[in-house]
Amino acid sequence: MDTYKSKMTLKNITQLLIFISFSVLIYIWRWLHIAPLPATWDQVDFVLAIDRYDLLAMQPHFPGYPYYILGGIIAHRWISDPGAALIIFNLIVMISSIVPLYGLARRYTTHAKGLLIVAGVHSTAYIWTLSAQPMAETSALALLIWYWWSLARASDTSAYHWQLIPLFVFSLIMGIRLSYLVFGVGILLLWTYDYLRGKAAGYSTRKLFARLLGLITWMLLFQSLWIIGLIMSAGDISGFIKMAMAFTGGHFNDWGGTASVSVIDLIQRLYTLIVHNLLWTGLAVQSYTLVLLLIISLIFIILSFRSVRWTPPDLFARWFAVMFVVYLIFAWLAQNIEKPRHIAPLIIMSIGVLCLLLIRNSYKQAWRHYASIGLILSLIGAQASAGVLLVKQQSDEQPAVYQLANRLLQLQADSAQPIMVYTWEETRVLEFLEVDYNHKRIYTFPFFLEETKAMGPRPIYITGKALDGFIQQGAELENQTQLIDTFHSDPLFDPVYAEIRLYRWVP
Amino acid sequence: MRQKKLWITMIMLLVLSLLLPAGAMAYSYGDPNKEDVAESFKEIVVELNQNPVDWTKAVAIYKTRRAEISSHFGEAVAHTLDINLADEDKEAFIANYKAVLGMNLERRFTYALKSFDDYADTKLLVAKAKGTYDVIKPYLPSSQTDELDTAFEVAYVALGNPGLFGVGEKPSDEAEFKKQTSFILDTIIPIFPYRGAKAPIEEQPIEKPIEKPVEKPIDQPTKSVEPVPAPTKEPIVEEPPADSTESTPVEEEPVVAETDPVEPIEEEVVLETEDNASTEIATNVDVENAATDNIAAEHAPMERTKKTNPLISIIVIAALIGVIGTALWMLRKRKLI
Repeated sequence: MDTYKSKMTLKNITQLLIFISFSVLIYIWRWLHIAPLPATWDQVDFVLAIDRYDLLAMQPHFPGYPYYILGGIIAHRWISDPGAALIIFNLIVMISSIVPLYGLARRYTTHAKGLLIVAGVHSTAYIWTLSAQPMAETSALALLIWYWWSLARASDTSAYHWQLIPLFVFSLIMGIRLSYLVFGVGILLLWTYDYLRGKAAGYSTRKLFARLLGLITWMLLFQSLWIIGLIMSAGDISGFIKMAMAFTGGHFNDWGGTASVSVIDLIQRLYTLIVHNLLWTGLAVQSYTLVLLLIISLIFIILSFRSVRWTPPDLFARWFAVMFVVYLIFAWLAQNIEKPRHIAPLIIMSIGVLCLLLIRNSYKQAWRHYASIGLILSLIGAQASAGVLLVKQQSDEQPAVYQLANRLLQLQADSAQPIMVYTWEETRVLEFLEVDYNHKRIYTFPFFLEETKAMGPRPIYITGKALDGFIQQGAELENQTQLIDTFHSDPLFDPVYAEIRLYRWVP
Repeated sequence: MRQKKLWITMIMLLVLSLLLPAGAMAYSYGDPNKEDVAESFKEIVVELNQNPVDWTKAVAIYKTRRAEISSHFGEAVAHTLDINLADEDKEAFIANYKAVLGMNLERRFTYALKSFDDYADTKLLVAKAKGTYDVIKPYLPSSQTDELDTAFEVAYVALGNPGLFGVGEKPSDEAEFKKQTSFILDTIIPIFPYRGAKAPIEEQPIEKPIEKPVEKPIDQPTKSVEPVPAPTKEPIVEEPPADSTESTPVEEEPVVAETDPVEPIEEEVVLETEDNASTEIATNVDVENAATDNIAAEHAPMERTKKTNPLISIIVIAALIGVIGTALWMLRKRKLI
């Protein structure tokens, strides 16, 4: 780190001011263009939790996200809309992550280039759209940056308090988004290193194990904070355990068993994960300009490989690589592949590393140096302008589910009898909107048939997702349905319910 | 050398962490707001409405729930359903099963009221009741479902909420909960009357049993808030009919008891009166023994497993933190940390 020490020169301060005004501008824009109306099942869960935290009623869904909701509740004291409160909390935590990100960048490069890397990461357009939704991801991402920085610091020094900070930040992350648990591998690496470091410094094994035991205890203490909060919100331990068991017990019964996993499935999943989710959606936000720029940058990095004074990666850089791979594998095998937001950590990790590789400070030729600066500036520019447009589009556009809700309101108004609507997850948003017609989630075709018979003659509507499910179960629906309308919104914001078809059931 | 060791450990950790997701992280978001007895009803109805009716499948699904129905609502109720199925009387079976769902609502609400101070349990019970309601909702007149939906919502809110880290705490309102749940029961139960079947040979007059079960369960939840007095009181009332099993006119009395979903103990008596010789009944007059032997064991999960005192939970946690803290302090003192 000492190699990159910088003084408070006029040039440095100017660079800092330019960076600050850039950040202020993009964050003001994002602040003005939030999308506080929940448009998916998960978002409704979060928004409802602000008014009443109740895991059993799925507000929010298991495992609870206690710190995120707490942050939202606190922000809700000033911001009356619960969705907006959650988003503002996202933005505040995200802004805070500028500090550790700069700290991390400065390990590897100079002041000005460090600022450029921070700008590169914070202008990632996909993260913009994500942070403007009432979802826990971006808050957790921002804390991940704090976590990486604290890990790096803890690897630099053996001072005890520096060993505790990663543990604390990690407990905050767990209280916001439990599926980032695999990043805990960083702590295991730190502990292993800490042990070897102690050994090298001549401490006895007994002493080192005692130190490790202390660290583990601290880890448990920090984690128990949010777990106790969760348990208290459920009433007591036995109630919480019962609820947890109930939630983790067979969710997929309705679907007729879980999908079988074959090697081809796994390869298909990996392809979707990396090419579609990470590269096309996450990094390029489905824009060809960004794809082009990213490819040029990559080619530039590869071609310049020989003209760089190579410094071997430090310890933290290797840990970072391990965490990347571990999370990639976790997302590949255990996460819902349909939703690109699950690989959000990989997006910022990739863009951060890309920016760093692009402008590391030791090019042998001057022209490469200027070319790299030009490339990163255009990358930042392209990302930020894509983000500006997307965030505005997201806040202006009416999600397909809302269009559906309005159309059904109209259908109900035109109908003398109460209508009945069968959906998949759309029902949660309809519930949130408190629409004045009946709606419910249905998976099983025979149940649907039985219910429609039981209710007698009344207009029955059904969404495309539910209908597709019936067809998968072997239902023959020739002449039984009549397409009423199709609703569209941008699949970037909600890949699963961006297109909703509405049918009328003709028994 | 040191470098090499570090790398080996890293790889080992990597492998370990890969094993972790497969087991521990395979969580899924399920739905505890579902009631098994009600979910099975949906499946059975589907089989019964096949053309031709698939009796074997219907019976198979019913069999998975029979023990539950028998222990919660009395052997007589299960027996009635058996007979309906044996007679291949689809209409009667469905009607009676709907009545069972009504009884189930009542059972859930009754126990919710009994453990009203235990927020975690009460909430689960009400969620189960809601799961039952969701299944019978299509069979209710659409004019009433809105009111019932609201009643469920208000009853649920009346349970209160401990908040998150104490933020957003809301008090509970037992009177409101009672009011809403009895409104729900008063509305739903008369719509799904129960028709008890006697022994296969005897054809019972239909009218009489219908009305009685309708009335009786309604005041039940408000009446039996306290679990203890009920069992001791009821057997005394039940004694006369037990003695006079042979005389036909009084036979309607046990039917009333059959429909009582709350107190399984009575059902045991009724069961004995029907199936066994009257000499045995005399010995069974001390109901409490018989009940604890037979039914209570099966029935216990509903009533007894739940009493985890929140105070004890807090003390345990506090003690745990205390022990950990002391251990830390000791280590510190010995200059190990």
